[in-house]
Amino acid sequence: MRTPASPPPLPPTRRSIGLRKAGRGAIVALLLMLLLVVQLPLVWMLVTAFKVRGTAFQLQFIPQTSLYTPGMGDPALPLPVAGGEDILLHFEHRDRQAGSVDLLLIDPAGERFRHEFRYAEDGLWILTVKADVPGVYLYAIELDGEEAAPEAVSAGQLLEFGLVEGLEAESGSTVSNVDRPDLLVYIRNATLTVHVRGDEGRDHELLLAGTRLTLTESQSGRYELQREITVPSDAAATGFRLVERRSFATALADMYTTDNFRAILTSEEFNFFRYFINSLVVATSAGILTVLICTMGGYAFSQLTFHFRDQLFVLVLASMLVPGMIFMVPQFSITINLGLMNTYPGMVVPHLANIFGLFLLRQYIGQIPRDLFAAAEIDGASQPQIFQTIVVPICLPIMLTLFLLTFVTQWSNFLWQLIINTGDSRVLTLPVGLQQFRGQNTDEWEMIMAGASFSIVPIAILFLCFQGYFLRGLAAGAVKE
Amino acid sequence: MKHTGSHITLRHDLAALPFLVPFFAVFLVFIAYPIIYSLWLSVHQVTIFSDFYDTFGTMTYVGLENYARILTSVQFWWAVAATFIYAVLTIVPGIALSLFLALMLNRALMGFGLMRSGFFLPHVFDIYVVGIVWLLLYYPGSGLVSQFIATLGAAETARDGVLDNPYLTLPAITAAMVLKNAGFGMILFLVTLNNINPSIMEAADVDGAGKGQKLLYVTLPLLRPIILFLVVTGTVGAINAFAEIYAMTDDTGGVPVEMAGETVQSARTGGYHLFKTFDEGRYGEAAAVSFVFMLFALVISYVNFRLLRSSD
Repeated sequence: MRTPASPPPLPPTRRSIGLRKAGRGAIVALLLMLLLVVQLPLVWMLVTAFKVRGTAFQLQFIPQTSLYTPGMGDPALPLPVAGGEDILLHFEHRDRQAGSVDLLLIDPAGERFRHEFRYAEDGLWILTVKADVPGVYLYAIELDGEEAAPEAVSAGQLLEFGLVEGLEAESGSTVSNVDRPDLLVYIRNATLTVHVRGDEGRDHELLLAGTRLTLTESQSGRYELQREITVPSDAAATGFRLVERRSFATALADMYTTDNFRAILTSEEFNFFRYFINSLVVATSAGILTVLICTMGGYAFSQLTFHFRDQLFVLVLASMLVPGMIFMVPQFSITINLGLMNTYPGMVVPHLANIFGLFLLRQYIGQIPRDLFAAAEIDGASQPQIFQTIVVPICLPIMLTLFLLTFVTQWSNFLWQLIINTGDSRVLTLPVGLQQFRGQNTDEWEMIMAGASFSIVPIAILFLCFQGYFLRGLAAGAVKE
Repeated sequence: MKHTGSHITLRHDLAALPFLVPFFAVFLVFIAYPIIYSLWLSVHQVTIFSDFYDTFGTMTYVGLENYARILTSVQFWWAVAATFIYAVLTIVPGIALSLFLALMLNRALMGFGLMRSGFFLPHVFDIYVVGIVWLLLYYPGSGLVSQFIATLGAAETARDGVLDNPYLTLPAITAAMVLKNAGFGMILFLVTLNNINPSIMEAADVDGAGKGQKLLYVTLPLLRPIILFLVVTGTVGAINAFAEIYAMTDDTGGVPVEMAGETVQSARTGGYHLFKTFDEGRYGEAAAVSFVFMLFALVISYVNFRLLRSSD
């Protein structure tokens, strides 16, 4: 309401309205950007928790239904035309951008040849070899000089050509980590031959000079194509691309998974379900007991009279000034002397005297009209009866607030739960369990984030359901100061 | 007070007793006694550290030796300095951000309530767990933040990771904490802004005050108690800071740095220093460290109390 003394507001011009609208839009945009930054850990944790293992650092989130070799931005690969018995090999190893890839070839006569692959681009290695002696060739691929055991291959039947995944190297290490299978494309005697190894049940196509050629799955995970074509005069300039098509659902499943959650829920050593239950027990019992203790104390301090009441209350309040860290060493000593190490009570009991909670309840109960208590006393109600029938029902909302605040605090009480539990404790809580898990699996980020979700997501849901009760406690704290 | 001392009888005391016993049982054992026990501990030294379940079994009285040792230790003074840096880097940007958010969100526009919840939400999350997520975001070279830094041109910083850079360990940790806790200050500011009597603003309008003048001369002075409250809780928070440092430095306290002939860790603040002293079984020294830090906290609380008084 404006007071009559205030001057009448000037009518806004159309221009100023437009400016104001633009300004408000800018503010909203800025706020949304800030919100995204603030929520970044939550978003990142969830996205990473659902990613396939080993892909935590890949900045790709929308699954692609078509995978191109080479990528769509890159020039197509030249189509090799082999004269005589030449074999051109394309060896694809996405993770490998440097180092050396050698082919060790043993011809039917038993002669050994060593050829070096030439790095083309995008993890693609190319090599042309002569295979003019008819018969079975043995071959092996060497990565950085680590020789793998030779495999048999016949000239002209090149199905097995390429890297065999998991092949035992002679030096004892395993040749693995092949992101994509081998790919063999060549034209010989006017016949185009394509061999590809890929995941089962996908559609594979070859894009050649504007035409789509579909590969057929000969065995599971093995695709091939053989067809007579007229060799283009500038064959070397005609490029090809290999396309792997997947349904969106398949592509999604290739990128995201629930395996991380499954793994940590069924793990023998680090069972996050057990950690979750432990945290739930600790936080819930701490919440309920704190509320009970503080409501009783708050009632006594606000409605009952006894000696040194106000002095006692000031004394209790004063201890709030002591920083929490001073209690750590003595509380640890007392707790282990009570034999409460590695137990629920050891985690719960030391934090039950919540001074802020006592203050909160005392204030709230102080606002209950005295007439209510007087009437009950005249009716002959005992103190416990008054507490039960008047105080508790009226205080339920603030009790819920205190419960939630305590729940969240104890759910996250990392330091205390860390020092009061040994590594083999049966009652490890979520943050300590996560700390132990991380100690053993430093780089399993997808699983670590899945474990983190067990701590964060329940609290987020709890807050969103009861945010009014959380904020009420905060407002009370602010008014106090 | 409705009751004067003369009316209080033993009957009153007995009626109140059952309501007080639960609170005071825990209070005496786990709050009051520890303060005294801590003082006693701080003038003793643990001589045997072999029996895990009797760690406090054998003590020798050493007088003020523990205090003398920590007050002459570079590690301790660096912990004080690091705590101070941590406090400045959380309090100043923290208040600025929460004040900005409160001023921006203090309108009844559609969706703003949701945004307020969104900004507040991270405050209730587990600090250790959030710290681990930031560890992933800050991961040298390939973490999201590192990749972002690389696109800004600081390739070397991105490759080595901000947390492994002695100058950036604390700023990186505090930045994460500022974002986590900005919503807390924002709510406190919003509560106060909502309680401002509209007639004050109207009076300012009558006096012809512009928007900036109203903010500077009317709103900010009214928000002063909240700012001071945030300074004090921020200071205590800096002294108690532990889980975020434990998480983001992998329990190392940061990068080792040479300082005055001793090796210190770049993010070893008071709370973490105390934990390490405790973890190494030097309980007496740990108690002394906590007492010295309590003195700092009390002095700061007192100064704040005086400031609050002088504003009335």
